[in-house]
Amino acid sequence: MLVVGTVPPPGGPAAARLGAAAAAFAARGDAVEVLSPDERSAAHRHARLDGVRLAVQVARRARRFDALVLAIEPGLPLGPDDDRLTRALSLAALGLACRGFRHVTVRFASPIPVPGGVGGRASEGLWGRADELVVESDDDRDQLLAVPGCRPERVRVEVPERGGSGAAPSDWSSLAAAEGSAELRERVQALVRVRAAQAARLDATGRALGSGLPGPVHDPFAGAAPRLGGPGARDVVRVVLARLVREVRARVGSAGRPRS
Amino acid sequence: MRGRRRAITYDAVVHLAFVAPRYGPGVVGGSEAVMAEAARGLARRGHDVEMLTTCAKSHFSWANEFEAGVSTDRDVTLRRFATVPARSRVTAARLEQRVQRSDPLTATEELAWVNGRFRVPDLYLHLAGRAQEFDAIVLSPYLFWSTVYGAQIAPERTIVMPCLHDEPYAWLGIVRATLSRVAGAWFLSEPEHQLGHRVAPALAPLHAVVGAAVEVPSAYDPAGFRRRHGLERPFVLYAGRREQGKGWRSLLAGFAAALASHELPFDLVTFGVGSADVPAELESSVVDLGYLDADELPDAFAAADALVQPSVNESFSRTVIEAWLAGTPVVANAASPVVAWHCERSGGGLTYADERELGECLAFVAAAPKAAAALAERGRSYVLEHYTWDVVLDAMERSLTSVAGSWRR
Repeated sequence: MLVVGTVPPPGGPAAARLGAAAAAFAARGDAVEVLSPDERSAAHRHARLDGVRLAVQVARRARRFDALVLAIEPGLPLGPDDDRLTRALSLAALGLACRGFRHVTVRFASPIPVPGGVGGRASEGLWGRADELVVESDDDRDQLLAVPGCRPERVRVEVPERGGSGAAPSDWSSLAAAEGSAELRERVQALVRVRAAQAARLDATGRALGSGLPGPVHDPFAGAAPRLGGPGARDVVRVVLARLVREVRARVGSAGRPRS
Repeated sequence: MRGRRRAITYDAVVHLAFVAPRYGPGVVGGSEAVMAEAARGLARRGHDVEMLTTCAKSHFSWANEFEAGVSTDRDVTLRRFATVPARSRVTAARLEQRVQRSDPLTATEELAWVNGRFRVPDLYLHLAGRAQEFDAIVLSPYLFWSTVYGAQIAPERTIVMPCLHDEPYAWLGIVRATLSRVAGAWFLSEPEHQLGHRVAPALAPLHAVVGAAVEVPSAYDPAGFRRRHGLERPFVLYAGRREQGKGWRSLLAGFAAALASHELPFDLVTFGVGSADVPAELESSVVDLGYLDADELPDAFAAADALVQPSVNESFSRTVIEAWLAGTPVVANAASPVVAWHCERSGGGLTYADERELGECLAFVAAAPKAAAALAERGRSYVLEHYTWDVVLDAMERSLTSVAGSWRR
């Protein structure tokens, strides 16, 4: 199973939910690989996934995976400044790339972060290819159902738990309720370890970024994700050739090879 | 003293010799303190106790600073004997380096190493001449001439209170032989007891975990302590010997790192022996009170926001016990099995594995004083349950009776 999107440690409930979903797939025995646009994410692979690059990255992995879980989140695949042509190309290419998978799930952040709306011919092809569309609210569900080809039985509403970021609180104030608890020491000790580990990661990141100065460094898990490099020309050529081969085979009537 | 003695049964212990390398005012050290207080406590309970010790005050020079002879300290008969310095400091230093590197030493070299610190032959001769008068002889700590040689005299009635740490000295063959030869051993904590079994598989058969104790003050005066010493800012405390082996250097480094990474309101206040040798960049944040009289100590512990115990080499950690008794939170080096054991068993202390965790522990004390006080309260309950002199002296008496009974049969 290929999971595309942001999983923790970058904060945010959406990342926590996608991370939890990926963990659940892995727990039930699926071989899961996470591809993330955010290099801070605890993903197996990182790549630049904006625009048509997402389609390229997904397509080149289609042979190795049966199922795709694709998160539609801010910047993935569309940014707010993308023009109409870019949007259309990106979504159309993504729809094509998704055809390489036996099962496709698209999980939408809320509000649905598709500039220009979820409608349009290009996006219809994408949503129509998905076996399951997961949204976080009834409003989001209604938006999708307004798109031709989105059948209600394929749209599922998964309301997130309030405040359920999945991350342990790392603030001393979280101890206030534990002052009378028999486990007070264990809780304080655990918090000390968590905070020290966070500080260690910050220090390591500071060193990696070339900051040799003592003292606090900027939290790399807050703020915008660092920009990653996109696929190279070889990747693009390889995907186009593979696609052409597949189309030719389909036209001459040969059955596609079974995927593992 | 004999007039105050309690009714004696056949197996009762009457006449005790305590042998310690140092004793008296100005002497700082955990084993020395336990020996002194145990001797006085047993004397108060009616035993006839003699303290045999040297004239030395400093465990670096072993110079004879006290006068040799007999005196009385409270209910204890005090006999001091002059030390004899090592014949060759060069040889002693060379052997010391090899021990520290855990290089194997021959039996002869081990003896030379023991002889290289100080010797006190007069004490040995005195004890050899009078050993049969004593129901039990208690020696401490494990790594000094007075213990190694004293254990040869009348092992059937000898108890060693080793105050073991997991350090290169502990693994010398001469230590194993000493702990195996004598009748009994007193350990101050369960981790030390376990270490004793590893060091000496044929450990003295009548060994026991007796613990140690501190006096419970009737009252504390933290405000008075602050006023007397001009301490206006909140502070964390380090109490004890300012030495590398006690973690003082690492504490200074850790405290500097904590100040750099957290907005801590604390100074670091220290008292004890040894040069504090504070780096220039920490001079505004570290206050060295030097040596404090024993009467001042409870108030010092009570005035602190937390006690920091950086030492790995602890067999009991008296300062941790005193801090908890004063209601002061404890932050301790997790690498010390004994202190970590106290912290876990009591549910009242925090441990740190590195400088970052030390910083977080101090940040916790600053940010959550109520929770920190709740932890300290658990520590105090733990001390009152396990480490009052009534509890510890009962355990010592049981052990003494057992040892005395074994050789009388």
